[in-house]
Amino acid sequence: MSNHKPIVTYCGDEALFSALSAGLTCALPKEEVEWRRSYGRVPKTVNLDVIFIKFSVECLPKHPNLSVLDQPVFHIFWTDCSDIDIYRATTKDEISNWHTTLRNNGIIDWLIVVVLNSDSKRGKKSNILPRTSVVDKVKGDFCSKQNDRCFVLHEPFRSDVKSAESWQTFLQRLRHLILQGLNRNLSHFEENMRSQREKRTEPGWSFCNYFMLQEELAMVFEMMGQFEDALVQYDELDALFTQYVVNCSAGDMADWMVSFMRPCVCWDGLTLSPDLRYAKRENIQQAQSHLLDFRNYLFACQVALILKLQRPWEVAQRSLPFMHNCVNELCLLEIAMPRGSVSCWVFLSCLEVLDTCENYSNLVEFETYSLHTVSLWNYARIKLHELGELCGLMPDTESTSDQLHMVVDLLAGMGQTQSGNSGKPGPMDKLREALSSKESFKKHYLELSELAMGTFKHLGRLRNARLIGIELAAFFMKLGELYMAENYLLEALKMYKNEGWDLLATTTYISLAECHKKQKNTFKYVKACTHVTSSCVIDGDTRNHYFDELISAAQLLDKTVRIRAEHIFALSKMDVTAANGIILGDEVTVDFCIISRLPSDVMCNIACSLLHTAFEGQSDDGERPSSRTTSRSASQSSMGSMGSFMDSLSLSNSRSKMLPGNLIRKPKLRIQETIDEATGTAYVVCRNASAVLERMDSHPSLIQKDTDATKEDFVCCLQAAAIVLHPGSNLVPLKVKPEAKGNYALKQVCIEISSMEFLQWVTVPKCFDVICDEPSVSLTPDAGLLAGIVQNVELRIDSGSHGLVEGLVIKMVVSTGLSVQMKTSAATMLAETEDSLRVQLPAVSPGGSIVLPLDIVAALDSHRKHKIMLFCAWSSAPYEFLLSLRSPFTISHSLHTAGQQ
Amino acid sequence: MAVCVAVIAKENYPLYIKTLPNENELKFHYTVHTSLDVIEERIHSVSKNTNDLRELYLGLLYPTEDYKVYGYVTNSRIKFIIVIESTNATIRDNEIRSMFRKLHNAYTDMVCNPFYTNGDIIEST
Repeated sequence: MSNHKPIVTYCGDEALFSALSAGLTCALPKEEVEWRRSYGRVPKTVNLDVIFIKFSVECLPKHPNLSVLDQPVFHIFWTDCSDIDIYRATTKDEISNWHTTLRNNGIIDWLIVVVLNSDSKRGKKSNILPRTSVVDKVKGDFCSKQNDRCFVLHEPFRSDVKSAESWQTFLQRLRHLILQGLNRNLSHFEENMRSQREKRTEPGWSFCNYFMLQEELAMVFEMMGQFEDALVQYDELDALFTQYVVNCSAGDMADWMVSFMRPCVCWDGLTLSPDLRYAKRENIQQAQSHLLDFRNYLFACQVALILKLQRPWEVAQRSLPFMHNCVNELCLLEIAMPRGSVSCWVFLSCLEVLDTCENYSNLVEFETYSLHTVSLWNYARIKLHELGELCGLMPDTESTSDQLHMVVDLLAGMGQTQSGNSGKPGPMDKLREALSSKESFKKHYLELSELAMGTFKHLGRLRNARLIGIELAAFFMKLGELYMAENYLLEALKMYKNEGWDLLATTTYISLAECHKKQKNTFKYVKACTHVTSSCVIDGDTRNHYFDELISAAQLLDKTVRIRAEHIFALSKMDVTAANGIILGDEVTVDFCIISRLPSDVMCNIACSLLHTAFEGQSDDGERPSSRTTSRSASQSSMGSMGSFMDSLSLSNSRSKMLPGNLIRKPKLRIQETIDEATGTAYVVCRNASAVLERMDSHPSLIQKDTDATKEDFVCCLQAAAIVLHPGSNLVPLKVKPEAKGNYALKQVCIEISSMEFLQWVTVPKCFDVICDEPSVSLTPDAGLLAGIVQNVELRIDSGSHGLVEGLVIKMVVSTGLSVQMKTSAATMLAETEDSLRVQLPAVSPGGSIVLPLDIVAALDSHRKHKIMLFCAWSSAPYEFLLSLRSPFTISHSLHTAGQQ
Repeated sequence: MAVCVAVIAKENYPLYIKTLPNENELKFHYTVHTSLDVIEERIHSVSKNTNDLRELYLGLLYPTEDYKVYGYVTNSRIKFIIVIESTNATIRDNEIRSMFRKLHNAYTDMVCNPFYTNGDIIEST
């Protein structure tokens, strides 16, 4: 019905009209004309294309308010009568009859065309009296008040300037008048329509009747080329109907609604080809239409208009909400439909829309266009999947006879309105084929999936693409194509992990675990199991199940599997339990606080590798950084680094809960403390503030790097064997006996459970020093002593790291001229001679010291420098102390002479 | 009533997702996650066009057969997502907006808590 045109009747001289009609029909639409409309609506310019029919009484509108299409909007009387007598005899009566008929019917849109030919001109010339020509007569008889209702057309069959002018003027007048007529009819019609709409709450009102009315208005707009306005009419109808459905579901059901709610036996998809629509219109008119038919029809009308507006993407855009709405309405109205039939309808409709859009799409709008089509592809895919499950077409199932019946029933409900396919297989053929066998179902399903996924990827909607990937993976698992499934799962997993969606990642791990299990890849299966069982976002049963799986699968491993442990075991704290430094030969214990996320107890061996660095500038004289506590620059000492570690630990604690396994390597704090004694103030400056306070992004993926688990060198390591780790926090002491002194940094923790090794880097710096100090001896004071009298000096022996056992003997030998005497009960004198002493020392605890007071006397006359040699058991070479003793007095002789006197 | 409410961090990991207790939680995780695609599209298309004050409410992100997903983005790119059942025709756009406004206020109040570290998972009591 898109070929509607305004109808104009002709009457009078038929021969004349048929000679002119061809030119007229062609010329009318060539120029635009302004269409001024009622109710202050914006004027539009339209091209007027009309058809002419012969005037008859029958063709006049009977109910001008009920219809506007298929009814003449304008009437023209043609005459080329030039002789006033003939006019009086016949033409005047003809016109008069015609005019009366029109007037009786209340029609005021008419025009009398008087064609003047050359011979009539001549006649006119001979007649010099005014108001006696035929034209004047016609004007006088019929158009006394409306001069514009009579038009004089000059010699339309000649081609000079004057007749062309006359022709153009005529066309303009005609266009204007026809539009006026049309507008008048339309106003009446719209008024009637409005009053009908107002009656919609009255009993007996029928939506179908009203639909016909407003649709007719839409058709008029379409006829006038006002597709936008026409679309508005359909949209209004759509909204009105939707409101009725909503009301209906709320219990307020209109009587006419019943016919829409009959059980559905036909679920043909949309048919968008225009020639098939109109059979459905009849059904609606007779209230024979089903909800689905009606919706199909309405949407098809909307689509036709949108396509005329050259907006194919809008078709795609509207389709999805349309289908969702229909499915919802079927649901709301509780319309009985066989299982699967709605899916069939959606699938068919999607494909029909996509087929139609494809014909109209161009590359310029491809992006916008595919943005909408992709959801349609996806929707069709989902529905096909539903159908596949329903009909037993999934690869892992065999269809039962019930399911076969269902397929037959579903197919029977389609194809009642034949889609006009032109050699190309239509949506119906595709669905038939897809439901025919498992093999072809697979083919179609995969094709749709690839298409939807590919388009999503192209549009940058990766999350949607991954979701399809997951569903595809499930399909491939059923097919037994595990490799494909694994790939899709890994892709999705990567995204979920990077974006920190734990539940999704864990769910993907479960699928992945199943996939690996089917692949019999114990190695990967174990890894996947660890992720599932350690996840805190899923229920305990699943975790326990995968824990059992993990333990039993680990028995089957033929080689060790190394797994990063961050997600399973968290290190919350490591304490080195030695306050005063660790002495070589001692056993070092580091208390690890390990949080196990496994759901059950597990027996394991734990080790932590150590990185050994010798002290800088280390030598046997023990110049360790013993003065570290006095050092003002905290970063220089290991103590300081521990202090800063505590800071960084507390900073990162909250974060590490959220991001298991992140690698936060905080730089050491370089803090300088300055005390200004003059003013009594102190202040601290952080030298590397920019490095320490570096912006930390809360995005997990930026920090968490998924590197492979590589095992460190565990030659030197802290160890604990056969430890039972309970779920939650565990305090495990790890022990080592260092074999060399130096600094030991904790590097990597390895938790070994049967043949699995869970590796985790120690991400916060943690270290301890192993020291080994020899005993040392000093003698004070060694200067400022006087010879000749008894002097008190002290021999101090520091025991060193290991202390001194009881009974060690030291021997002191002094140089000649010096005598030494010990006056203490702290040590036992073994032998005492003039120049040597042998003393047995008591036990001295590590880090302790013993002080032996000595009396020394140097001979006055001996040389001033003396030497004391000390032979100790712990040192191969003797200690030497040099003493310089001053004489208490000096003697000088001087003789003063005065020369010759 | 909404069937699912989610707060998503700037970096697109979930800060908070709550579904009705008898619903399939996983399904909504997928729904919310995929709706981020649309949110990002909207944010980018807006920031390209204007530098004006952005409308925080993004409207209907995408409908599925069963649910309607609505989105809202704060100026600090925290995303709020509300999922409504499609059959629920009584909720109007304005009501959705006011739900988002309330959610935004609640979030702001929570961020003002000095014991909350930005980026932590939100726990509701």
